[in-house]
Amino acid sequence: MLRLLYNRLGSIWSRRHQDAELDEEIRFHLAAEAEERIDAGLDPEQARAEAQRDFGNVLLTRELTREAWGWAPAERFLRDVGSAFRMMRRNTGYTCAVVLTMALGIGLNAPMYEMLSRLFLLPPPHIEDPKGVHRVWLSQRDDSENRGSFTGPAFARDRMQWHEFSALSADNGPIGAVAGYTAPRSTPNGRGQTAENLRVSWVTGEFLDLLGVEPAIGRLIGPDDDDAAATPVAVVSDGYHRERFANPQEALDATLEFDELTYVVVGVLPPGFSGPDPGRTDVWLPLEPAVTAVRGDQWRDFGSGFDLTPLARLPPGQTVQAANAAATAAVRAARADSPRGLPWDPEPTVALGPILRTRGPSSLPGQMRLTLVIGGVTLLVLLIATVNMSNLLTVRVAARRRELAVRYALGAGRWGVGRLLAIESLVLATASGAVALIVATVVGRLLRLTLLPGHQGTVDALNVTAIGFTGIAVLAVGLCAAIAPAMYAAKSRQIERLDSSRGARALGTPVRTGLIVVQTALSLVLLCGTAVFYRSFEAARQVDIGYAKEYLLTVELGEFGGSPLDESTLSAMEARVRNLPGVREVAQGTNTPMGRIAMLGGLRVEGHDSPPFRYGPYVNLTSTNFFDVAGLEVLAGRGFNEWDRANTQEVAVVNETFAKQAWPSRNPVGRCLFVGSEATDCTTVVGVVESALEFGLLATDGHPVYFLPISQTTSSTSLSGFAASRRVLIVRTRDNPGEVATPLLGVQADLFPDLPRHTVQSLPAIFASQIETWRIGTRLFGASAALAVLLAAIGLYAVIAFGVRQRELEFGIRRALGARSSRLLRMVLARGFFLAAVGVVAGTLAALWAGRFVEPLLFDGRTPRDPLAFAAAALVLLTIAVMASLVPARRASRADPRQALEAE
Amino acid sequence: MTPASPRNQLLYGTLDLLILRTLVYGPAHGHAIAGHIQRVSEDALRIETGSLYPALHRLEARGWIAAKWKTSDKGKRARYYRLTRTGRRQLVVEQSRWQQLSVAVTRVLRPAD
Repeated sequence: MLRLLYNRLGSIWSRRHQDAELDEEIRFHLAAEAEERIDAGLDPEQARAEAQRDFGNVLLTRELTREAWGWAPAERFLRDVGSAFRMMRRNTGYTCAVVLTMALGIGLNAPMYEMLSRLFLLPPPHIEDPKGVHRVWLSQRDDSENRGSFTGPAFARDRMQWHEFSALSADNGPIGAVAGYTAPRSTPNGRGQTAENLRVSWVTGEFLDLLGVEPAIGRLIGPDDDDAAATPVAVVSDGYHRERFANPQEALDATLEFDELTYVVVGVLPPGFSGPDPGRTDVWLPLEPAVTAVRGDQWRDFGSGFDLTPLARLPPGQTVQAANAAATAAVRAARADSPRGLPWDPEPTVALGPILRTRGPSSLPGQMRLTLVIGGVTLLVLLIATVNMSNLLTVRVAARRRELAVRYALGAGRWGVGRLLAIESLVLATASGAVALIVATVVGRLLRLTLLPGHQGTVDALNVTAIGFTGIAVLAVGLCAAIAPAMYAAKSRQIERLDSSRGARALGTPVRTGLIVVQTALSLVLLCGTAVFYRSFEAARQVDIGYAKEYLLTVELGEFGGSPLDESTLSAMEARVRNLPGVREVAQGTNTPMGRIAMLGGLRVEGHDSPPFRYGPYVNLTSTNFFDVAGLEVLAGRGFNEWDRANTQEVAVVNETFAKQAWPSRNPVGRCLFVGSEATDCTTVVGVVESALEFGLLATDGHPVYFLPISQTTSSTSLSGFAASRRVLIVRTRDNPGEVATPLLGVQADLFPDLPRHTVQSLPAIFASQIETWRIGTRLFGASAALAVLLAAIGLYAVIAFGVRQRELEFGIRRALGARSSRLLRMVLARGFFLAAVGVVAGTLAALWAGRFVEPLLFDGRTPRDPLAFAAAALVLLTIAVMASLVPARRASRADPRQALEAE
Repeated sequence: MTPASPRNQLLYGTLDLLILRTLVYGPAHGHAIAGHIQRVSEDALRIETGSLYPALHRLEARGWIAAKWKTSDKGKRARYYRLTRTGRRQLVVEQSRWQQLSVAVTRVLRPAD
């Protein structure tokens, strides 16, 4: 066996030598044969001729003998590759078109695939036996409409409250080891203008040990560190360590400051470690000291608002089902102990899922779904590019009928030609793959930054997964694209004649036009997607959020260290900001529009024993000019004015949502609110303002809010304490708020040197982040659709142009017989239009079906089957189709009748 | 290009047997092998060169025969084939197979009793 292989391999290298030997052997045979005849008495000339005749076809014998050598397949392969390269060199334009389009198709998909596999397939790095670690999901039913009964749809989250979490970790049976962490949150390290924002995750003492990660330097956070009394320690990521510190020792002695607490770095984690999520995390802190520093001691209480994500590592031999049952029982027991009347389902269920959040039991979160849809779109682009390549190859086959006919005549079989085409297609695909890697490096980076900002994977642009994908895609695309042309070539063989200049019209048309229709249909799907997303984007952009969103800038002051804000410094700041160029007016409040909103306990509402709201109510303590500055319209009664002072009647303003939920059928103006649990004095509602959208963009997102003037808070200690702990300056600008940000930061640095820079935010920026999904959707769909339409146009052009060239003679005759050129023009254009129209019909059906995948992503329940969007998409496609067939059509209309007649 | 099927008037596989059998008498070149078979079969079997040389090279690739360039008795360089050890074993196998086949064919052709 080995010798056989050796012989074969050897024979490849010595083929020239072997060829020469075979020739000599055959020559000897002929000579010996001739000699025999000379001996028998023939004259030499005749003897040689007879020997030659008896031998038969020397070439064929040589060919057949070579087959016996065993290297024929390899030789054939090399020959075909050589032929493919010659073909590519001869048709530079064609090659460039195919390679570029394929490169875009593959290059878009490689990083996409890499990203999707990271999100859905690959376990996070540096975790020991990641299959054994489970994310714990808590599923509870919603208290939908009627308060007190939990009959709404169940929704699962991978977070639970401290009570529930400690009930889980107290159970030593089927659940095994339990640890918890909070999703990384952007937190300023240090204070003042130089504070850097780091992604910080709080973890329980068992967390890093449960994951089984080994520190690169130093040690991990252990159970002893997870204590409010212990010296606060921190471990940092490899990335942050490299960015910030010159050498490892420096990192170990460094200190970090978060929320007024100083942490000592005790360890550095290995490169690439990001915890259980793919997102970037810079610093891990022990949970107890960190939470206590931010929230005080009440964070363990039920309903404190603090929750964390539990992970569990099951003991060996334990089943997930048993663990689920035990965990469910533990959490229900914990809830049964909780204070009554809290709005939580008393019978939640707990389920252990894989460590990857994206695989968890709940439905896909929006961002993930968007990623999947985009993945589908790029795959569609690859498909279109493949079809396009297939189409161009088929057209090439048609143009090469003469060559193929010669090949058939020389004895090449159906498989021989099929193989040649497959190899040509593969060579083209490989060239595209090489270019695709360049595209993947550039596009991949962009794609990841857009779709998954802050993910760890942004470091390496090109990795094994992406390259592997490219390799497989090249093979698959190369082979798939060869099918149609090979079929066509095989079919044309039966009717093949060496004279291929005529009668070619009908050949292969079904295959070619079929491919064009498929391509057009797929392009239409993408165009529809673009249009639908654009409509959503526009609709979301036009949403009236209540606030004057184009012209607002907010500055968050307070909320650190608990030291009350100094009213005179606040006034000084307000005055200085008001005098900055570009500033129209300044107001104060305690909430950040579309950002932060607060609740205060103990509000009683006239006519209700308990608060009549499902969420909230939320409170905003404001200066008297707040409604004017923020752009909220007063719908009934009045806003605040300068007579609302400490010694005058206590007043409140409520928003429309509040008024409707509290007093559905009565006039809200004049009703009483009792602010504070012991309050007996009536705070009179003097006005109703429009509801602003505080969290989301949908009208149903309205939340009940009541407003109190800051000037009247001095009477109540809880209110004045609240007002002094947090304050937001609302700045109304004349133009783009971004321009005011820099001078404003200067004022802030003067008066509040401890505040970090990012407390200044412009509402347009906040709003832009809210409509990000539709923006990304529109852009990516748009880019894909542009590419797809370009491909379809190239394909259509190629087919029509080819058809025209084949029928040039016919057009010439038509003209000679008196057809007008405009008529010929129309004829060809109609052909292109017809093909595109069939594609549009097929594509419309496909898009109607595919709509279900994007439906949940659209704004405010908008339909993906928007007739206007579909019409626009069809119009664009048909226009482009006509334009693509215009050039060949003009050529047809100018066909020279004289040439036709001469040719006949 | 796909190979056309060898234009062999002999039963498939028979040519290999004949070549191996011929080489039992000692090394010979292609022309001599063809001539020998033709002579011994009293002109009943004519070996076509289009089959002979592919067969020789195939047998060589399988290692049943080996080739060497030698000067022929007429003073020209010729490629001489000789039987190898595996070739000898293969000859026994082929021969018994042929005998079985020939017995079977004879039985079928025997006139009905």
